[in-house]
Amino acid sequence: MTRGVTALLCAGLAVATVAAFLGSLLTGPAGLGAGSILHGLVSGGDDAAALIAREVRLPRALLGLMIGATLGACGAALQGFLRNPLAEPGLIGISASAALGAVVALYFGFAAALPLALPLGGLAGAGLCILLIFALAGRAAGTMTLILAGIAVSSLAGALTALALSLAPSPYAALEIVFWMLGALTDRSLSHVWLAAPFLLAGLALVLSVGRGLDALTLGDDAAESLGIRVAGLRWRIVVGTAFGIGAATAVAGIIGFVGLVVPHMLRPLVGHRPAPLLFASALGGALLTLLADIAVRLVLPGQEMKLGVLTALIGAPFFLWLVLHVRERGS
Amino acid sequence: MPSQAKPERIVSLNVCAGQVLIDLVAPERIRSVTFLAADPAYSNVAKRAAKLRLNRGRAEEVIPLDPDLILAGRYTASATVDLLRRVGKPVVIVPRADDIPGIRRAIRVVAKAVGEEAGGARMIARFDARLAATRPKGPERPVIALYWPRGYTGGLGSLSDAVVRYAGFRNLIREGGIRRDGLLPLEKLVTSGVDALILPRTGGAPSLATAMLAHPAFRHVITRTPYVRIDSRLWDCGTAYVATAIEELAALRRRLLAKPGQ
Repeated sequence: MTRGVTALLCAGLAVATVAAFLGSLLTGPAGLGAGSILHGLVSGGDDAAALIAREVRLPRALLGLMIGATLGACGAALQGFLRNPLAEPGLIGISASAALGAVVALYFGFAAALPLALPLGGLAGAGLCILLIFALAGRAAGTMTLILAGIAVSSLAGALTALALSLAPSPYAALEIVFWMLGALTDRSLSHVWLAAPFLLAGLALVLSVGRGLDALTLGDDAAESLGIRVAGLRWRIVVGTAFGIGAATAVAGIIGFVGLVVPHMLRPLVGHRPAPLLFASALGGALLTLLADIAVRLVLPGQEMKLGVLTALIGAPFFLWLVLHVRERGS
Repeated sequence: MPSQAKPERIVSLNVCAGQVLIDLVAPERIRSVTFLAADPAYSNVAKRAAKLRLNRGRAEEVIPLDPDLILAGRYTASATVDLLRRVGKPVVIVPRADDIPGIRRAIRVVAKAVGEEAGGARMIARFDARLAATRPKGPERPVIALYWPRGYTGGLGSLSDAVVRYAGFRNLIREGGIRRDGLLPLEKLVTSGVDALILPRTGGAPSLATAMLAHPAFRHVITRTPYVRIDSRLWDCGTAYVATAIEELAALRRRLLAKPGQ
C-alpha cells in the first residue's frame, strides 16, 4: 500500500512541478501576458517578448528546476546515508567553497572583466574542496572522518570569505559580495544553464543511483555489506554527486539554504520512511519548492525582487520551530 | 548598425552615470534611470529623475524599453550586464571616479556614449573653472578628518581623500596609512588634534549615524573642533557636483586660517 501512496505522491509532485515551471515562466516585472510569453518562447524572434521569454525567463525556470532537484536529492541522500535528519548538502563544505571561489572572482575583478568568470570561480572552488576532502580524509576514510574534513574545509572557506569581505576596497565592493552570497536566480542566462547543467545532471544522476544502497543501509552497515552493497562506494558516490551538483548550484545562484534540509523531512512520512523513494520524491519536491520560492520572490515585494536565499531561509526558520514542537510532542 | 547616430533610448542602471546622463541629455532621450537617481539622499538631480521611468536594475525591466544604449557601473550586477550584452544590447560601463581626473574621465565616457562630446567638454570646463576659483591660497595645510557613521572614513586613494587634499587640507588618515574607505579609530580621532572635521549629512532615516554623536569621546572632539557637514550625495559619485563639496571645504579652510592665533 505504501508503494501506491508513493507513486501517487511522485505523480502529484511531478504535476505540481510542471505547473510551477510554467508559473516561473509566466512571472516577471515585464508585465507580459501568458500568450506573449509562450509565443515568444517558440517564435525565435527578436522582439522584447521573445527575448524575455527565451533569454530571461526560460534559463531562470530551468535553473530553478535543476538546482531545486539537486538540492532536494542531495539533502535526502545525505540524511539517508548519515541517518541524521539534520544533515544537509552544505555539510561537506561544498557550498562554502563554491561561494569562496565566486567571491574571489568578484574580489579580484575577474567577474567584471569576463562573462561567466563568477560561476567558473564557483566551480573552481567546489573542485578544490573535493580535492581537499580527498586529501584530508583519504580514500579509505570512514564517514566521521569525511564529515570532519567537510567541516574543516567549510570553516576555512567561510573564514577566507569573511576576510575578503573585510578587505573589500569600498562599501560597493563589499555589498556586491554580500548580495551575491544571499542567493538569487535573477538575470541568469542560457550561458549559465549550459555551464551548470552538465554538473547538475551528473550530480543528480550519481545521487539518485544510491537509492538501493540506502535502503539496504537501514538494516545496518554489516547487513548491507552482506547484501553486496559496498558502503565506501556509496559514500563516494554521494560525496562526488553532491560536490558536482551543489558546487554548480552555488556557483550559479549563490547560497540557497534550507531546501535540502526541509524537503526530505516533509516527504519522509509520505514515502513510508524509505530512503530510496525519498530520493526521487525529494528531487521533485526540491524542484517544486525552489520554483515556487523563485516565483514568490518576484511577487512578494512591490516593484522589486527579494533574494531567493533570503526567502528559503525565511521558510526554514518556521520549519525548524515546527520540527522542535513535533519532536517534543512525539517524545512526551 | 549606424555608427554616427546619437542614442535616443538610453537606460541607466547606475546612479553616478545616471546623474551625468540627466545633465547632458534631454529627458526625451532617456527611457529609464535607476530608482536611486530619484532619491535626494544619493542623487543631485533627484527632482528631474523623479519625472522619468525608474528601474531596479533587472534585465526584464530594461529589454521592453528597447534601449539603444545602456549605461552601467563597475558594480552593476554582472549577471544582468552579461545577459543584456548576450541579447545584443550595447552596454557601456562607466568607470568609478577615485580622484579628480577620474571625474573628468567618467564624464567623458558618458558624453561619448550618448553622442554629446561637446556638452561633456562644456561640463568639464565649468567644473574646472569652479575648481580654479577655489584653488587654496598659501602653504598652510590644516589637518582634517572625515568621520562617517561608525567611524568609516574616506581612505587613501578614495575620491573624498582626493577632494580634501585638493581643497588644501591634510587628511588625518594619511598619517595612519588607513586603506581606502577604511575605519578611523575613534581613539586616533580623539588624540590627533585635528584642525577640523567633516561630518556627513544624508537626511535619511536615523541610524547609527546619530548613535555616534552619543559617544562621550566623540562629543569631546566635536565640542572643541570646527566641523562642516557635507551632503554625501555631493561626493558619493564622481560627478561635477563634487565642485560644490570642494567649494564648501575651501570656505572652511579660509575661515580656519582667518582665525587669529591659529
